[in-house]
Amino acid sequence: MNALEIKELSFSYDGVTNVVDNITFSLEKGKFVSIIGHNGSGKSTLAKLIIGLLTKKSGSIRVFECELDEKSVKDIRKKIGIVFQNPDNQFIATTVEDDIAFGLENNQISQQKMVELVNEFALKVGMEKFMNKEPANLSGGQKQRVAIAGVLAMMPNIVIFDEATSMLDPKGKADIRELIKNMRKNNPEMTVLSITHDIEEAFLTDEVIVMNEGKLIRQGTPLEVFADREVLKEISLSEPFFLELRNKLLVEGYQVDKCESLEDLMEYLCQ
Amino acid sequence: MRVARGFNGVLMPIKVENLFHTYALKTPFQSEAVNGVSFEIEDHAYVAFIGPTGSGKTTIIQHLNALLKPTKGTIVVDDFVIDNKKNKKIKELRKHVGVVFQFPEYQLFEETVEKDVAFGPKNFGLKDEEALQKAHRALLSVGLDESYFKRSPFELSGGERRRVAIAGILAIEPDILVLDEPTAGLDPRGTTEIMNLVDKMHKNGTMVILVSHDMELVLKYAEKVFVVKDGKILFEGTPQGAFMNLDESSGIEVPEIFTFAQKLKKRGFDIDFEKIKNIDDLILQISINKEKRS
Repeated sequence: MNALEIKELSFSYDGVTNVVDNITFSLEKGKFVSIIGHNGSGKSTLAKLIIGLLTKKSGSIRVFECELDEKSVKDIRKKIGIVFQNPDNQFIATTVEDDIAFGLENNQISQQKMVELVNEFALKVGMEKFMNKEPANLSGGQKQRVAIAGVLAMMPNIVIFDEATSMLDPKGKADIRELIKNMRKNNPEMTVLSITHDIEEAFLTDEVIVMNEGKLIRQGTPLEVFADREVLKEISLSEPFFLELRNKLLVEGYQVDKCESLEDLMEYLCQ
Repeated sequence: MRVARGFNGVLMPIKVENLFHTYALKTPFQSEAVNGVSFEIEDHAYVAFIGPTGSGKTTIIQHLNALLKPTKGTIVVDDFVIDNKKNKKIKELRKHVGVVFQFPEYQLFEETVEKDVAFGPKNFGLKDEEALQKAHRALLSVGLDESYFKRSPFELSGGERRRVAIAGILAIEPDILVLDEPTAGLDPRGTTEIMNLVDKMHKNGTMVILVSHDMELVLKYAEKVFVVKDGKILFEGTPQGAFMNLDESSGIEVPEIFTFAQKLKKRGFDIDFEKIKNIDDLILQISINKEKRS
């Protein structure tokens, strides 16, 4: 079953240029998919279309086989959780605890269950010691963890991360990556869509969608997509360190063309 | 190039002494963000504050233009003194110290890009026309040409909005530029553009104070780093020194270039770490070693 089906979708802010331009793809339920592309490629606009924050110009969006329109948007939003880039725009309550609980309060579950869930997800994102703190006084990365806990606690069928880890330090990023991994292990039906610039992050997902100037230019496994240097060049994402070092060493006359990893390069240089 | 300045003839325009900052003092939310920090920054320097999320980096730099006032301690920036008393001349101070906050693009509000960027200079007393001139110059310097001037900031992409926001600070022509995670969320192309621009400003005499998690950028650009942890300065020195002297508990992720160089050293290479700021420097070190051997 497809969690999401996008067909010939277009959107324009000014009525002239299509920021999302005739995009078609589908996401299988339970998949972890990343969308990469540079700023302005239309990635975030696409996310906003999927949750109904923006209205399409043409085409169709189906979430679990239900067409997204004015009538269905409310129900569909219950199925989708989104974490945005800037955590400051996502806070409502005066304490971390209340903020994580906020979405749950709208979901008609018992008080006891709610407390359990709030504690569970605070622990999962490593914010359990901050329950009574005011979100405004947390650091950017800490705020983002609280926002992620709030979204995940509602157990959405589809979770969209829109550059959600870009504010975190390397350890914070690794923690969230681990968290997503565990979430998917516990709930294999959860579909995750990650919008990112982080090649390392995209490399760990099941599938990569590449966007450029509003168009979908490539979809495939990370290996299929990243092996093509032309694609990375086209969307101006940098090469991994290993490839950059190897290419520069080649230019300097070192015969490292057969090296396949940093370890290989090291062995070659130490001969 | 601006005139060298500083107080008492010493070129040390920023002097922070025993800075403490507690958020929400005397409330249940009280939390200590900065715990006794002292440092000085030389004129024209390019420094970086690094450390894990929540270590107090942002809190420290928000004192430099008196956005925050210290709970205890003093900050001296040129002739301005910031302490926990009522401070005069804050507006004047903010003409000198331009701070680009995290995600500045969320603070855009005007109906056109040029109006938004001109807001700062106008606020500091320039006439409309002069302010617009400065806005246009700043926009061109961040790579946004005339076609952007009359557009609404809200129809731009995140990266373009970030550049508009940075132009808003550049239009004030500060001689101390503070940037808090200026490249977070930008793609590599946007990152390179912003960092090249900042580098150019530094070469023209602007002091740059950077907060970043991106250690490759820190290695490439910063002359000096302050490693912050738990509201204290853990280390002060070159980026290379920080990478060699700190362990994982500092929350610093050593760049791959540097890790590779360290491994070469272990395998008997003679590496001058202080000379490594980017991948080309690394290759130069490798070549020097290879030549010596052959």
